[in-house]
Amino acid sequence: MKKIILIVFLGIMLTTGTAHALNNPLGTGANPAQREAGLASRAAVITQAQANISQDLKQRAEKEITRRINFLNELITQLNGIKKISSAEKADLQTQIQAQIDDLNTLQTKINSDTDNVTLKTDVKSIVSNYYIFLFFRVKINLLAATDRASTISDNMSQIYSKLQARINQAQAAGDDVTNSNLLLADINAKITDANTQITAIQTELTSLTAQGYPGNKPTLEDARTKLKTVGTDLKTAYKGALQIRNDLKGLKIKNPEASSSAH
Amino acid sequence: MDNNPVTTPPVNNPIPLQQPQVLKAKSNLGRNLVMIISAVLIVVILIATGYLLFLNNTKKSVNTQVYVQPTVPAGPTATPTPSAYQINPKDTSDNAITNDAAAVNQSLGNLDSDLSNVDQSFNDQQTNLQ
Repeated sequence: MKKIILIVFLGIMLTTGTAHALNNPLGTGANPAQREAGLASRAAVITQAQANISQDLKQRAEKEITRRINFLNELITQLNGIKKISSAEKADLQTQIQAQIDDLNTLQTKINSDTDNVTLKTDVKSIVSNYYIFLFFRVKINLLAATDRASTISDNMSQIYSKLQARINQAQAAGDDVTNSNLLLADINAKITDANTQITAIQTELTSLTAQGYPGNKPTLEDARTKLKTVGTDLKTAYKGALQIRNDLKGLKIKNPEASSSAH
Repeated sequence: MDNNPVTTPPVNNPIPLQQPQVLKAKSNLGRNLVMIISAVLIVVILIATGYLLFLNNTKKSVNTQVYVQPTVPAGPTATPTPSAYQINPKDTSDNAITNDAAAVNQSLGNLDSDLSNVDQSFNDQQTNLQ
């Protein structure tokens, strides 16, 4: 009987002693060896926490740097597709974008090799501080690409204008009343002319802008965007006018001048 | 002959029924004690285990709070390159004009996409890395 009681008592002592030791890593109230072990345990926890922070920062930085490099590469591809800017300007822009990519790769290497969190945080911060450069290229290339497309549309509309003019002249020679068609044609011409004026102004504005000037030159970029929207409206109006003339011509005496066309 | 017969003294036999009763009472007492101590022991073990689990969960939740991964917005989309439709300037037929107009119409749609990309690039926000 006494043995059982003794065993139970020892069991309680052992359980509570273990719980106390686990919950008190600093070993307060324990002997110096236990206290030292507790301090070492705490230091290990802190080191692990710092390592986790470092790993987390590095992963986030890598993700952001990769996102930017991928997009800058896409911008280079986009830039190469633009037809109506000079080769020198295209090469200059490409060099600037490539320099950004190289800087980001260098920064990525440095971040990977950072061993203390203070330096690491500074390096990660530099991604944010260089953000304006990234943003500038994004806006500028998008504007250049859109302007280039608008310019192509304007050229195509000019050709459609010429075709419609030829058809109206034929209809007029055949004795048809083409007054309304001529008014529409004049309006198309005005819209194309205005679009071309705006396109030239946009290209002039964008050429002089540099990444170093951003965000100070942001109003100029915004002005280019406004002009571009005007170009879009002009071209849409011209397109609608062209459709109207085409439909009007279908109701005239000369239906389809396939025979007189020197096409193909 | 001895007329005094030897009388054997009466033997005081202990009452056999009382002794087992005492022993039974002692045995129940010990068993109860063991039961009580075991119950206390189990309670102590449960409390200690519960406390340790609580501490572990607290540490984990603190760590999770520190290392929350921010959501990274999707990367911007690049503007597609202009299509390469070529207008034949000498073909003034209805069919040719219709095709030319269709090509222009498609390009105007692409121009709208370009303008949306321009707007999007102006509104792009830096990912929080801190």
